Amino acid sequence: MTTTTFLPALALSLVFALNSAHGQGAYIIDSFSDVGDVSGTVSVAVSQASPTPNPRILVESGLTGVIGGTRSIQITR
Amino acid sequence: MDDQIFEFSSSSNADGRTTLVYGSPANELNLNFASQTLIRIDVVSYDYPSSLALPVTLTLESGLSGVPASSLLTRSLSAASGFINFSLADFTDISLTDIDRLTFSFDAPRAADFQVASIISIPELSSSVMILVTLGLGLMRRRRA
Repeated sequence: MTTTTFLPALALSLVFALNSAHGQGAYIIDSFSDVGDVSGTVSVAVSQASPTPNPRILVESGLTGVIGGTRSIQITR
Repeated sequence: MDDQIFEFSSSSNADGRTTLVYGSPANELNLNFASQTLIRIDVVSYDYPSSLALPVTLTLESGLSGVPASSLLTRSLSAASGFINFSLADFTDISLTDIDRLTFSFDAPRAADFQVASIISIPELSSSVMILVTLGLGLMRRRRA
């Protein structure tokens, strides 16, 4: 690794390390990493053919990639 | 990790709205956003029907089990992909030190499809970090000179 690539990398590492030490890290609100199907996708859809007169609400609890552990998805048309 | 997404799709002429909610009166988040600058939605794909933007409204709420307060803003994506950024400084009607619920409402245009990879907050840099970065950049310039 050359000096020109090493120093910015070092500076960036310091930024993240110090930010973490100050308790100022980023919040991951939802990484969508904890999903139920094999394709790794949380999927919702609306369709003219199957109208949804009442809002549909999907609540998933115990998720690890979600802030607070619970994601609620509401679908309306 | 990159393969994990939230996907919304709608059939021809269907007009849907999807809302993602984090936190509830029984499960308050108690987030302190005082040292954060942005909340960022990473939209990896948007099919942009009829050249209409994808508007997203973010509502911050506090005091779910006490004195309630809320503040909301709408931002849009006008591209096939990109970030939707909500500057936390723009949420002026609420204290950012104790946020209990976050609500993201995607009001997609008719027949729209989109995919979201992540929703995160971006912290502000502390002054000590800024000093270090400035010193590091100065050192680099000296070495090059």
